[in-house]
Amino acid sequence: MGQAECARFIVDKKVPLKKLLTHRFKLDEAERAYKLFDTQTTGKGVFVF
Amino acid sequence: MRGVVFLGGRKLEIQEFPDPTPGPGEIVIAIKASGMCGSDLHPYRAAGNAAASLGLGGSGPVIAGHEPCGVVEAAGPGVSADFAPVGTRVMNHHYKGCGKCKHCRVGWSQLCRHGITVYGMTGHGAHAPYMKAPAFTMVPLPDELSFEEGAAISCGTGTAHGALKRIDVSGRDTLAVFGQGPVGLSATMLGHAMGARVIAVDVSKERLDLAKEFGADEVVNSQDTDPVKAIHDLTHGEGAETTMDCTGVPEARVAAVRSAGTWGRVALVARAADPPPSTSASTCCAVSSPSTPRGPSAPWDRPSAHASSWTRRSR
Repeated sequence: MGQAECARFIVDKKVPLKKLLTHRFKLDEAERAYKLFDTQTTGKGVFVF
Repeated sequence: MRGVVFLGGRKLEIQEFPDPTPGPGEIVIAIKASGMCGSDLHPYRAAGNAAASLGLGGSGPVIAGHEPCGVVEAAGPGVSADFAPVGTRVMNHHYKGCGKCKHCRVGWSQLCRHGITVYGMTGHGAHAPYMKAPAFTMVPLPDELSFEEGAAISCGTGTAHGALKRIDVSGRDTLAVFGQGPVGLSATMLGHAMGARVIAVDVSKERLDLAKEFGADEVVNSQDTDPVKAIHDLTHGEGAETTMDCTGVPEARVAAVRSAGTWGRVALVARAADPPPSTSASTCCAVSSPSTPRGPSAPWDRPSAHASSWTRRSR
């Protein structure tokens, strides 16, 4: 599975993937989240539960 | 439960849905992290609903979010107890195909042409506390990784990884990455980890700054610099061994092909409405095509996107 292989590569090579996640949002902030993401100037945004 | 629905025209709504219960062969994930992907911008900006914007039909509101990551909450009948016990940390390969065709059989369900469900686009996705999907779409999340990282790998980062493998990036290569959104930035980071010298291209200074931080050796702002010339200048006039387009913008796709040197390898990843770029017949030859990175049940991604891999054979 490519996805599993990607995950292993990131662990084994200590790829700093955490840095990619520049914005965290609650679900209620979805409108603001996508407004910001729509500017296409950010890293990755993620909704956390 | 409440879930995010794209309405098109840069509008979205949080709507009420029943909590999912797993049917035969299905698992319900308690979502811990759900990523925002560049491809969300298509249904977000589209006139009409998400499925319509993908040309996939569909009816009724659909919960967005196709980068799911969480823990197994419940399993339906027919899912063996040891397959993914309750509490197992999982990512999700968010496609369900017909299960019978040649693509589904090798795990490339995203290429299925016989009635595909794309969770987060045509089936309920992960921008909600729970999501239901077939057990075979679950992918274990290593303990070392956070749910947020798992969400990224579930689409964008997995896509970048699949594409880099497809063009066989190694420490012998210069890799030019067009577009530094979440997929392009992942390609920069992963390409660097694979040992390549990375040239990152974008129009946003903010994103080029991130690219530098993530391992780009050179950055090119294509707003004010011709990227094809810049990449040739940075590669002794040869062009890069490997290039990748993560924008879907026609000009960038053509530039990615033109920036590759003789025998270069090119990956086109982003969703785009137009067919792969035409370059003069003497310059480029397609060697393999459909690719939805991320790989079988995991390769490249996107049923409708051409993530194609090209080899540039001669000038």
